[in-house]
Amino acid sequence: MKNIEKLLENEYREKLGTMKYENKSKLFSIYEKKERKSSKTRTVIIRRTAAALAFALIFVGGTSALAMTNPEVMSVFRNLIRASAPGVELSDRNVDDIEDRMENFHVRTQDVPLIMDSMEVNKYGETIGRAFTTFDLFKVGASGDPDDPTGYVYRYDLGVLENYMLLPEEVEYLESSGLMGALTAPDLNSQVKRNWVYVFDREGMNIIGKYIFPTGFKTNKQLEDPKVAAAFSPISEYNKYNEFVQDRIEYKRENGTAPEIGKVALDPLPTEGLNELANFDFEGLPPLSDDATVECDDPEFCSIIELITTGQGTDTPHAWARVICYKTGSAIFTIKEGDQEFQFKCTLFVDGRHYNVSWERIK
Amino acid sequence: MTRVDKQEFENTVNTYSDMMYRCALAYCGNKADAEDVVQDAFVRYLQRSPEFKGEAHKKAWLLRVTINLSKDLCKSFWRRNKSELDENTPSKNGELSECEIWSAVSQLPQKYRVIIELYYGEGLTIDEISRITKVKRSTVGDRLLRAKQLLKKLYEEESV
Repeated sequence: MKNIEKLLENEYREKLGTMKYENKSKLFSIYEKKERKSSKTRTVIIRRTAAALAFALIFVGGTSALAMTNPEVMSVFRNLIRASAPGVELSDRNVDDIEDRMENFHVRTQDVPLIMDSMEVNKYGETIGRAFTTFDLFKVGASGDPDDPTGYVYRYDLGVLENYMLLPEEVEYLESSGLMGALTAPDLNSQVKRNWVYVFDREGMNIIGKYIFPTGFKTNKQLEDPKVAAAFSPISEYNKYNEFVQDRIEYKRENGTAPEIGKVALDPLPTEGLNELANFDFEGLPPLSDDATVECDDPEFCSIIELITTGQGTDTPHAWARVICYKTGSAIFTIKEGDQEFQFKCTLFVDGRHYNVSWERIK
Repeated sequence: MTRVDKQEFENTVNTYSDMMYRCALAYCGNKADAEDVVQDAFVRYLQRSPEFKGEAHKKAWLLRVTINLSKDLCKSFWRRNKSELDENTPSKNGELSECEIWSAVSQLPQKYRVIIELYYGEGLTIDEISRITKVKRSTVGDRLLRAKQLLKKLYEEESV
């Protein structure tokens, strides 16, 4: 059962993250039609906006459609293009033009002191954005899936997000250079569970470090859980990240070359200060009702989000706990229902570049 | 009832349409139907212009409508009396079959697919799924377990 759980938590989620609703422009036209009925005066404006929006959606999709219709955003975007490809101007009327100008855009932007990986703008992102208002910091990213070559650009000091499509050549380059995946770190909406980013310098494709977020990344959906949100501090995460980046820049300034990233990449995953979501299976139990409870003997090891029971009368009795682990190690979980009591020793451990779990019934 | 303004509508589309699409796809089993369901759900959102207590409420409402519309579609005369083209089903779709686990999930009965999508895909808790699908909490847990057992079986059969 453990492998299935892992497949569902990782591969299935990752695949789902690439599945997008493609017809958002159609939805906007629904709004337009509705508005036309209610107000003739506004129809022309809405139709024009919707047409522009439809264009933007074809190209960028998602949240950036809003940003693309914002003159300030377009101005930022245009400046980025100019910096990355001198002499080239961004047209907001022709998709092909834009795609042409996107070539290598995301890594060659000389105006950009730092480029970090993807993160959708959202409540979480905005919070981080505010923490970075003194930095001219951008992040870019890609979905990491060659079938869904979506990228992101986000400028913290303006709080702006842009999406763009990676060109096939870019995808090819990223794959051949082993960077596909490097640009795919924490995308909070895609539910891709990665917890590291590559950090680039202002010259472009020079990687100056690989940073592993010690407490992992949480998706928007995970952060909606108050327990997860309470246990996770984006600001402190990013302060740590920023220190790392500044150290790397300093190193390169003094030594002329970037620090060895292989060493950084091989640093072991942290064993403390985590907020790792995990499921512990309690196999081989008799049927349990919704009244069953579970307790962990070590509050410093984890906090329990919920106990899931399969109910009375089922032919396949089973239960599991969804928890947030704060460190690696083991703890004893006691499941009680009425006068019945069961115990499992549950363990969180580092397994290569990931965390893994195991469980063993002891009572 | 308050009118949904354009900005709000766009935000809602951008925030929730992917989630609704995945849920509808899990229920309907093919892209075309899932797209129709999402469109109908947003039409309903515009028509009703419901007032929400917060984002969680809005999300639950949109998921609930998506599931209801998916059910309606699956129960429709047209749907019950047509043959499915192989290439329309997720498991046979070239793009999706690249992911083994996705293919395996798509072979599960509908009731399991939806639970898997909501639990693993959208990260909802059992209680949330229970409220949205209006299925008893224990039944949700049971289906989740049963789904995982079926998946395990599928993998074992595959390896034999």
